[in-house]
Amino acid sequence: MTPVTGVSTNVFPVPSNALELWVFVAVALATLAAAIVAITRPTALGAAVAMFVSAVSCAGLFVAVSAPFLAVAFVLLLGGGLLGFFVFGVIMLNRADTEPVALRSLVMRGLGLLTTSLTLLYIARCLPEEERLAVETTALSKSFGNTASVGKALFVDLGFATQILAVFLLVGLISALALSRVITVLPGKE
Amino acid sequence: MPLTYFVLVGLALYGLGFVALLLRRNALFVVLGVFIQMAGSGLVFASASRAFADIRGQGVAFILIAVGMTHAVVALAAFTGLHRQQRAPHLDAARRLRG
Repeated sequence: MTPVTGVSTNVFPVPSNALELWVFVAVALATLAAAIVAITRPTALGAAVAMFVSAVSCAGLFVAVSAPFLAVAFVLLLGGGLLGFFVFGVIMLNRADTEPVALRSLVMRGLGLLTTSLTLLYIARCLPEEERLAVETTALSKSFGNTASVGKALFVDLGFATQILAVFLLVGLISALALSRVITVLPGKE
Repeated sequence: MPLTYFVLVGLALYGLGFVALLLRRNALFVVLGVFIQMAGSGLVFASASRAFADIRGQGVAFILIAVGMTHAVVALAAFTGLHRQQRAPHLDAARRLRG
């Protein structure tokens, strides 16, 4: 693709040589390995730590695709979410599961796994050709991926979706309060 | 670097999250699976946004992350109810979510 005149094409360099390819492979493997550890650990504490490692590695991949704002937001939001997970998991029930895998409805679960695998394989087959779509070939403006450009995308281009998100957050907040409240039954009011 | 590599990593993360969603009994790990799925989906959106030079992809990824976090908050609130009922948030034994 011909670079657009007047814009930088190298704001956040995307790996293009052999060394950078190996760095990408290392970060991607770290992300996947930490995710595997997170879902197979018997205790919540180990899973939360592994998930945080996976999130930080994944943020590295976000930076590689010129999304630094998203990388920071991802680590901060997931860090907050994992903190809640951590507090709940460690303080209330940091016990190793004696039976970690659900053995009920194995046929339905296997069917779900099979259909999802087939769907993911189909998507992988439809991936674009390498020479046609590569992340480093497209010319970028200097502001691509920074806070201002993502904010503009959210509040101008995706304004309706952002409003729906705001309603969703409100409903989530009310639901969380309703679900976590303790109902006290007074004597004689049963 | 081809877009394909990033999409493959995203698909692998999504698949791993789905495996946790299907196979783990503990509800905390189910939420963790959704976190992993969210990370994979966000990565696919962000890499496509870079390849097409369209910032809206990153906006969608941000919305996705926010929705995932909301889900986590509601799920953790529900787990407190489950914890009061059975001392362990196992989804197999969960029958009601009343607080």
